[in-house]
Amino acid sequence: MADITSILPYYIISGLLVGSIYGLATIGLTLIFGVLRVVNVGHGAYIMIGMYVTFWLFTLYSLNPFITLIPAFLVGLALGMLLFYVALKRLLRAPELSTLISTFGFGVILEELAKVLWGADYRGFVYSLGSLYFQGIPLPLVRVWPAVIALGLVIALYVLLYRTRLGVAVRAVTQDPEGAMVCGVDVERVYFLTVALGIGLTTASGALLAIYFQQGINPYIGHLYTLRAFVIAVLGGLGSPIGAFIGGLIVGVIEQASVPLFTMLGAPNPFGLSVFLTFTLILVILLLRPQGLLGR
Amino acid sequence: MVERSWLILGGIVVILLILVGIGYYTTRPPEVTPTTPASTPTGTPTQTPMEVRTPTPTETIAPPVAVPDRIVIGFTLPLSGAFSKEGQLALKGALAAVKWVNEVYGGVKIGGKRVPIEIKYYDDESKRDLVISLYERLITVDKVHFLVGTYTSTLVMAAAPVAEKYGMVFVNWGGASDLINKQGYKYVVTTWTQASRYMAPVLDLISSLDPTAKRVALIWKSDEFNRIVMEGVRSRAQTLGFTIVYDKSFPIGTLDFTPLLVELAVVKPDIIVTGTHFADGLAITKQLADMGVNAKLIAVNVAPSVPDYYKSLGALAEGIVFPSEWEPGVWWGPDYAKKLGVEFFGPTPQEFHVMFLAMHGEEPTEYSASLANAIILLVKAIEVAQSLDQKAVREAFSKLDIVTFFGRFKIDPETGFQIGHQSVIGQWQDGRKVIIWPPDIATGKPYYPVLTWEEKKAGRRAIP
Repeated sequence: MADITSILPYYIISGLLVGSIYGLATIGLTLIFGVLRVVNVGHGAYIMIGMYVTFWLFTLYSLNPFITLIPAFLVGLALGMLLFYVALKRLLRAPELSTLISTFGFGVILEELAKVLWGADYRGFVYSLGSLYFQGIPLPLVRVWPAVIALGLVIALYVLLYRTRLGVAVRAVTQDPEGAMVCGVDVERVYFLTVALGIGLTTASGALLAIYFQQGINPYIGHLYTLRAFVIAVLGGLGSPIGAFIGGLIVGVIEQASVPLFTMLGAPNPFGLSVFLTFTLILVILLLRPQGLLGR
Repeated sequence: MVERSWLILGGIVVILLILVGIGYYTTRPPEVTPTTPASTPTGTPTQTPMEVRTPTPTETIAPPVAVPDRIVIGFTLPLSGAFSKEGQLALKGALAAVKWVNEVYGGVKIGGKRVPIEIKYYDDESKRDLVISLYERLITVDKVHFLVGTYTSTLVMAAAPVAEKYGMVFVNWGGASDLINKQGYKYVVTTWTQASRYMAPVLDLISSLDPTAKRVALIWKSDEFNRIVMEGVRSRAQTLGFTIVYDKSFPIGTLDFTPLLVELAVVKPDIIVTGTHFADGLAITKQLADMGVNAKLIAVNVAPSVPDYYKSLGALAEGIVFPSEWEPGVWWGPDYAKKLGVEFFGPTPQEFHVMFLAMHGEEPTEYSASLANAIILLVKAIEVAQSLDQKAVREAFSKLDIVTFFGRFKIDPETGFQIGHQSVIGQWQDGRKVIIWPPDIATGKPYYPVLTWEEKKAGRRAIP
């Protein structure tokens, strides 16, 4: 395997692609935490819902999976509104454990509901678009496009947060809710919109993940992403959406590029070590910057 | 006001969700399925032979045949959680076995009577801790007469010590790991071809097809089952003169196999063998296709034997080869028994197939057949022992060398290792599973070398 180093750039590109989706899948979590100080423990369930939206619209109505991103986002918005008005609104001043349990409960309800509606079977679909070639190795377009779209969504979110009045209000509430209220910001409305937007982005990322990996979808698939999302959120700085995206890119690149590097070093189980490396790096970053990369 | 209407709407949704939940739990299959023709109230068996529940088996006196009015067989199944698909399929097999024993066969022949069987089962939710407490419950509270196992090695590894502690016979039909029978357990009897022999026949198949295809690549999940499966493949590769050109594992929960597949594309093996379960088996197949990694033969563990695999992948599944403990169409019948010079017991494969189809409206799968087989074998062992004593039945299992619809059953008397049964190799051909190995029970010819991913995407089918 002497020529593995020469294809290191491929691994990095591949890591950036997967990382951008990981990043988008984390932004909802970190956005809600940043503004409301609520940790959405049921995060994975919304990713699962997004995946099912894509799966069903594609298999039942042959809708282009990329178009299903829009209904997935809208379903997420609606679920976010529901989550806010049913659970979070009354718990904003409650101890953290209350919101933790209520978001966890909401996640469990969604998973069990998915199981009742669609069964526990794994479901999958095949959607191909051909490939680009990089260093002579195929880079499937079903992986490139979701990454591009994820990047687009993150840029849109950036514009929303930093170039609009709503964004100013959101950032003001993040920094000092009481101060923002004194200045005339409708804090509750900001909370409401943030949760809706955060969950919407999460279900949208579920749709992109369904296209990206096309693995079997089942009601518990979200668990695979929940831990990753927490790791990335902490790495990027809890509360910082852009930090989450950068954290996603870093984790993606480590996951991919560390495998050839460990192979070169003669490690017996390079893939297993990549998980180890991810967590080691996170520990180091947190030692140097306890608030995460872009955390305040 | 807006806020209040949202609150009301939210409240309604929550109430609806709760109602749906209650509805689901009240309509799901009951834990007990009484199947006795003359039904007795379910719950605790009316008569319990006293000698079966002692923590350490007593050996001296041969117990008198105290025949209860029914024999209760207890087990758990993963009806929800990660292995729910396999668990649900297995349950259908158990129901078919009970129907055969009670209605076709007429009940267990013991002490000059015909005694019907009954099953008592719980959903273990694919969780090890639940498996432990539920098997305890089956033994101490439900006081079942015999135990059969649950599905998959990790859960069986949790259940077996409980059975052993109480000296209960435990028929393991769903845990293929060799480790299960390496623990020194006295009461664990395994019916499946164990992991170390499970996938190795793929290499026998290739040897017979193409002596020039010698470069094998192994990609496997670093879990107990697949690790041992790969040990078996490696050792067979050595015997048959194959070269392992690539051998790497991936952690449980891996989503993206690109790092391994890129290396594989560089190595260009003749044969790719993957050690997976359902979800990762599906993902790895799809990603092999995306990356355009071709080989003369691709064998995937576990996933392709489940029909959902083809439903999800469509034409991409064409030509994929897989091991299986059993498949419909594998007619290990009385002829096979005659050839081996041993007894045949139970429904013939055709009878089982027809009965299963009539009961459930679908073909039996590997999992349904495996649990059905375990129950039928248990019935045979009880008849041979002519006793409900755990030790006597365990000894009867050691003496058994018979063929059922599932194939041969013969264990190593000491360890309970299965040495008679052999796995089969199947291949997806034109949307159907075809058995291609061993040759004496094959239902079709192998398609070799398999189609490239490009050919499959262009719509070509693996029709030999």
